[in-house]
Amino acid sequence: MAKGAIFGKSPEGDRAGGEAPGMGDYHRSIKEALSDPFLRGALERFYLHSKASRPQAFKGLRLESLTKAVRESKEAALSGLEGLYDRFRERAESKGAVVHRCGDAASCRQLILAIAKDNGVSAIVKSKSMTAEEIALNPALEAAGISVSETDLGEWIVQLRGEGPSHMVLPAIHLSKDEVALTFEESRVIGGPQGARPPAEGAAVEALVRAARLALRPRFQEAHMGVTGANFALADSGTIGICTNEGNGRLCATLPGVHVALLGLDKLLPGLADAANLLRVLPRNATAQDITTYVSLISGAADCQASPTGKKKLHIVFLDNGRTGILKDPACRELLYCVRCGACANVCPVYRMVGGHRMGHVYIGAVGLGLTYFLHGAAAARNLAWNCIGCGACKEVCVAGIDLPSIVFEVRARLREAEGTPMADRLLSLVLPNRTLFGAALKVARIAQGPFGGPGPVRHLPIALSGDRGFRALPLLADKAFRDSFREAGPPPVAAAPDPSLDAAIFAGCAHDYLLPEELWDAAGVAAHKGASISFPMGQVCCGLPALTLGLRGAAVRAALANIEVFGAEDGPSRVLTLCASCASHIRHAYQRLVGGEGEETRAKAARFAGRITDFATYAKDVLRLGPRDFDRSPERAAYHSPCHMSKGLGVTQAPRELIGLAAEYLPTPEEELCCGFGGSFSLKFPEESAAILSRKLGILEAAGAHTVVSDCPGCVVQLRGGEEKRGRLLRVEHLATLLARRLKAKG
Amino acid sequence: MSQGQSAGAETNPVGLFTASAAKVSMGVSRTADLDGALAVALGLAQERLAQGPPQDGLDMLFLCGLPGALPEKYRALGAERGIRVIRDGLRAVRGWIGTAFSLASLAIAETATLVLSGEGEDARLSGMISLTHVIAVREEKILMALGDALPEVQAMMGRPGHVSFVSGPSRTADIERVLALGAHGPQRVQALVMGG
Ligand code: SF4
Ligand code: SF4
Repeated sequence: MAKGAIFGKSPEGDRAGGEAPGMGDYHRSIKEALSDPFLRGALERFYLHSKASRPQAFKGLRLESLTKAVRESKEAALSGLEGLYDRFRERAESKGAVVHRCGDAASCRQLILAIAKDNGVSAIVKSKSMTAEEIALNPALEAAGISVSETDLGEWIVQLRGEGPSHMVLPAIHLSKDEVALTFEESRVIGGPQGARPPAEGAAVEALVRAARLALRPRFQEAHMGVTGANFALADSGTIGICTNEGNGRLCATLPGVHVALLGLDKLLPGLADAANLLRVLPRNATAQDITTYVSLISGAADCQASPTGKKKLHIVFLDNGRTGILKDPACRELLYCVRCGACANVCPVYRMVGGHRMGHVYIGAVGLGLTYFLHGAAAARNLAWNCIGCGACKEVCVAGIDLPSIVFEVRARLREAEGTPMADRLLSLVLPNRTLFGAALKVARIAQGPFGGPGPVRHLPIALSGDRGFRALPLLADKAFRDSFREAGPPPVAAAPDPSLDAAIFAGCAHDYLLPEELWDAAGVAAHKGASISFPMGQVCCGLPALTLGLRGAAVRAALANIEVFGAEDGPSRVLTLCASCASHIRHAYQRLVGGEGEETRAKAARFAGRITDFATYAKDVLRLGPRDFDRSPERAAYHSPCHMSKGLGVTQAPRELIGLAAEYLPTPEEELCCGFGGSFSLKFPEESAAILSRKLGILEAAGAHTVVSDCPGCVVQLRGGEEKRGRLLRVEHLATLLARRLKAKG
Repeated sequence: MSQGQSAGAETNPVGLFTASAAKVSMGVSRTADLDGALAVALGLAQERLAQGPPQDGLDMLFLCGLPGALPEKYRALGAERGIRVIRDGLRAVRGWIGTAFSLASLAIAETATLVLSGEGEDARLSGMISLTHVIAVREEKILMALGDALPEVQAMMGRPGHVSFVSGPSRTADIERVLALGAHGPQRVQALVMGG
């Protein structure tokens, strides 16, 4: 138990059979991605481009109300899904379409194959459809001797390369134009043995697009059947809606005599007003467009000269494949709100490093981590579900407002419940919510860590290190936990006239209690300076977030119950101060859900605690009201690393920056809100990714010319400081409380 | 239409439509009436023919669903200028035709969207396989926001067939997220506001 006591299981535990099958291959593929300079370049361009363009697209719009409208319209649709399906079918069939419904991927492939055979089809043109990817339609058609041509440019490129899409909206975004040019050359789309070969190097994007357009035009002409997806299906009129930019979707739907539209049951909506909600957000969030160039609304069978009847043979195929299961699953139902804009990949720090082939099975990005489990089963999700830092960037950007990280944690819990929990994690789940066991375990760890400089990796307990995990130095367990020294010494003496309205009880969180207690003392000192009296209730335990991220839901619930007893009681402390943004955000947002099944009184306690928990920056600024006169301002340039759980979790962005400015020269730097790559157990499970994310972060900070990096979450401090130590300590890394404490003006 | 309204400074539909059109690389010009619109289309067809790239169909101008004697007038005018005015037969075209002319049922200013009822397969195809697509809309049929257009679009969806929203030339950003105009469909779309 000693190793990894705080943040996760030890690497030995990992390797001694604790890892899911296939994890080794997964790591290999991640390493490959990380060391591919072309991929890294393409992903980096994509990330920065998306980030810069999105705010423009939503300018002047009330994003919150747009999101709310999408959620309400999706929820209304889902709660009457069967009725919608019946209505859609009736209306679409009355206009000459044939409507089908398939329970699973296999029956859906069968059906589409049968439609092709009935119509004597030997060539198909296809426009991009994630649903077709989901059921692996192309291989099935090709095995039956039917040629399938993707016609969406990106999708066609990956088809030529024998790859799958790496993004739901931009399937070939992992490639540079030079790689595309090479692919075109190899597939004889351009060049060819006889003609002059255009140089692959430096080929203009426009020339590539022109080449593709010319090569694909005859395929439309020759195909007997077009397969498309659809972005929505409207029950009131039996209409399907297809959004494209290239114009390939409408060609696929128009030229061949047969049109098969394949879509998930979740695409059903009542009517045009619902589609309008979707049209307002989908293109904006996907590609920062106000609208896609084409929106085709197809209601039943149109006239079609290629069909013997003179009417298009239109088959609309709805796929269930697990969707009605998600519908009945309150914890994950929100997954069905997804409009497939792909934005949750665009902002994801993990996606930015490794791309979609490692960050998805078929569906990509955060939503893929969740959907894979339901649509493709536990085996497909087993490794994927762990590849998430829990940073919340996806949740923040999702236009359907889906709480994606919580769904990822939920999937982890289910994987654990179904597949068993490795020994190390089982122990952790016993120890974390129990303060006596936790203290005892850490004492053992402290002894094992030995007097300074124990042999090799032992020095770096409790987050055991070896191999890849050595990308950052990690702190030793403190000689004395905060709780022990507080018990002995009590709060620091109040320096000013006591002001009980400033008083606060400390919620330490395990990182501060056991690893970085000096930061808590710094905070207590700052509070005392203004006349606040600090207390420390001894009954508190770990907040439970580390357990939740490891899929140990039971332990997370027990930890929450223990803490709300202490901090949520009616006569409990009215203000609870924590220096850990992750604890604060977990307590504020997840506790009430975690204890939801526990009765009204417990829920009330959780709600009270959620209301009482206060992050240090907000406390220092709004409660202590620190001002310039409290500080001896330092001339050092101090940059800010904004922790994900601070900015995205708590919505606190200005207070820390203002406070830094009081104590030092605040130096704004690019991407202050870029994740540091810690994520607790994430950095142990995916050290290669964590290291890559960290190195980008530190590179930016060093280049900006900062002396000091200030942050306000212990995980970030540990990660950044450890990374800097490895890189040669160019920067001082410290908690906001420490900066404030060391620049505090002496009283008197 | 409370949420989602663009907060652009433009308060009149044509102004907003024109501003939005610039964002999607779509040209906008004014003409008095249908006759004037067809004259513009013929001019653009000549431009397209001169521009190339050389291919079958480049000299074609497709006119759809127009009343009265106008198509005949422009067939004759076209012939004088080396432009073949056609009204059907697009399935036989293997590549692209030079120019297509369509009449939009209505337009949505906030996104520069032209709404085509797409009746008749040739009419629908013309917007997909033309290099230049000229779309005329009556000024009073330009509405400010998507929400304003819903009742009319709803009515159009009552009949079997397609309703198409077109906002600018076909495009792709699939390679390196670099925008390229003229993917499978038109490289150029010109909106003509008739009346006023
Ligand atoms: S929480 Fe962060 S790391 Fe996890 S999927 Fe979302 S964006 Fe990616
Ligand atoms: S989960 Fe949200 S952000 Fe991700 S694709 Fe779906 S709608 Fe877009």
